[in-house]
Amino acid sequence: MKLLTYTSKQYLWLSALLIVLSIPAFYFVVNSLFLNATDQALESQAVLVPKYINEIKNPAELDLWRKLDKNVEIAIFDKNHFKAAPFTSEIMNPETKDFQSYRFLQKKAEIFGIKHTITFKVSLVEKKQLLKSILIVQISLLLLIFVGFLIINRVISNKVWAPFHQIVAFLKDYDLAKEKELTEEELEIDEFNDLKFAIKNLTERTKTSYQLQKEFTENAAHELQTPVAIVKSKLDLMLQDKDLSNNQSVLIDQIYYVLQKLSDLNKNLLFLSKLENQQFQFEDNIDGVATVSTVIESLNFFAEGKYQQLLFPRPEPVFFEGNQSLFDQLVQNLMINAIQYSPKGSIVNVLLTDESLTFINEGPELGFSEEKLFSRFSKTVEKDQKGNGLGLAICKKIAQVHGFEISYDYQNAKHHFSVNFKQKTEA
Amino acid sequence: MKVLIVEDEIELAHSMLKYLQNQDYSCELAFDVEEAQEKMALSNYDCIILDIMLPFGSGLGLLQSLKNSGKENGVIIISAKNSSDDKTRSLNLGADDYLAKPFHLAELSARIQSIIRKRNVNSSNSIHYKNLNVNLQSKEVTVAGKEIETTNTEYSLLMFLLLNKNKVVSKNAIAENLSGQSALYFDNFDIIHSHIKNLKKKLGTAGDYIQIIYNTGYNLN
Repeated sequence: MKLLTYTSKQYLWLSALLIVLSIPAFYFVVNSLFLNATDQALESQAVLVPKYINEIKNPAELDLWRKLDKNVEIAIFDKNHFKAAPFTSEIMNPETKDFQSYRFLQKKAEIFGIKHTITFKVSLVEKKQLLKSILIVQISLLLLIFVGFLIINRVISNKVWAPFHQIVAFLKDYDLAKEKELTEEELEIDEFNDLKFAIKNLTERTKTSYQLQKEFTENAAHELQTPVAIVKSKLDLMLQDKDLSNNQSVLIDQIYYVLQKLSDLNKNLLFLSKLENQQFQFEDNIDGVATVSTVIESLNFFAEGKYQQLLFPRPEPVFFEGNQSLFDQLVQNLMINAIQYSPKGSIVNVLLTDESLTFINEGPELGFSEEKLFSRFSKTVEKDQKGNGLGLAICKKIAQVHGFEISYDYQNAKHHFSVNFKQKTEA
Repeated sequence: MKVLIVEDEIELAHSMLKYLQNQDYSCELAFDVEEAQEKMALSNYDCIILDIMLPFGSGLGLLQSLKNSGKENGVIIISAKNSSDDKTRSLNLGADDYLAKPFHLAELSARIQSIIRKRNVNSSNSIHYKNLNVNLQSKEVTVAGKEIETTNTEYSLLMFLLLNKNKVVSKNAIAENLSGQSALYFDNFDIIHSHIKNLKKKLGTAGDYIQIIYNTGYNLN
């Protein structure tokens, strides 16, 4: 539910309740005012009674008064039927045959020495009308408020909330790597200004820490790779020594190996951390066929050395959006994996379609789960594992940041590694 | 041929100097931006090797001012950052090549030579060593005038050894050169060895120029 709908709903409930309660209250107040006025009118008539009585000289005149004034009744005083205060009662109308409310006021008077009760009455038929009008006025008021709310709602959501929606849109496609700023202009609503200010602060801080993180990663790479580079260059020089013994040369070889391992580990860890920090853009238009062909070409000597064949039947062109260098790495790692873990003289098949890229190679079944296969540093493969346990983890991460899905399958004594493009959740 | 090495890591700079010096290069060193600028202003180099992170500035800045001044020398950027950003920026600024640290000196030497060759209009299209001749354009290998069929791998291997003649090149360096990949991933270096043996066999008498040094490295001598 939108905030606006929610609050206006509350307001509407409250106003409906108030109006419903106000109907009886109004009725009560107006009713008592009306009766008061009626009573006063009756009283002013009653005040004149002594004057009238003085003018009545005989019973015939009294009868005449009775006949002329339909709103006056004169009867012999009866203590049981006398009320000092005005009162309301219903009388049947002989013509329309329904009951009508009347207001009565009774006065005592002595006429010709006999106590009489003089009763004045006024019809209250207007009171019904009054009730009706009040209801009509109140209900139309309710409707007016309702319509008014709807109109204000619309105006507010269109105009007042516009900067808010702008801020939300800004946050939705906020990308650290892209330079994009919130508008500088002062907003009409203070709360939104505060929000904008807070978000600005937040994004600036995030940007700073992102920059720091990026710099740190790069500096760490620099600091770690430099000593490795020095040792590597010294070994290169040492190998030039004319008097090198067999033993020494084997030692150099072993140091090369470990040094390479260290350097790769460092490279891969930094690469993974860069991936985690999303320091890559995904706007390259990748030519799938060309990428795979290039990788096969560069790794072919490796397969040749194992008398293996890399088969890549040229498919239809496949293009998609992504990061070229990351995708190169993905294909490379999977290719190396396939070559490395298949026996000498076997065939490695690479299949590329619109939907997926699959590497198929022979090999004994794995004795562990697919999950472990793609996890970092899981020492599951044979003891003399040549990789550093990060290759497939990197593949998985690269697939993930592209919105691809990477899967493993074992069929007919063959390993199938697939990168599924169509599982794209978001690019 | 004159090469300027701009690198603040003294040990690494000295290694490069030592390796390149006895390969018909005259090398000079600069350890920071100011020194490099001085040397660049004073003389012309065929190739300049530039580190990115330097005291008093960046190698990329040097590259830019070099290109602005219109000097026609080859530039190889070497960096430990190994970020694709830096690589594209370097190449966009006009660097001829980008080499990520750590690298093998043999790789550096090979790249310097191919850059100088590419830039020098007068350079011949072929490399020879004794009776061995390699045509760079047609990728034709001849021994004493007789053509030898080679695979792509064998051709690259021979080129790498030729560009590092009289040097011992490690299997690791060969693997890296051939694949552009870390050699660690490979089962073992038998792969390199079997390629070398095939190449030696194909080259016949010229195959003897390639010496195997205790199974750890190879030397074209």
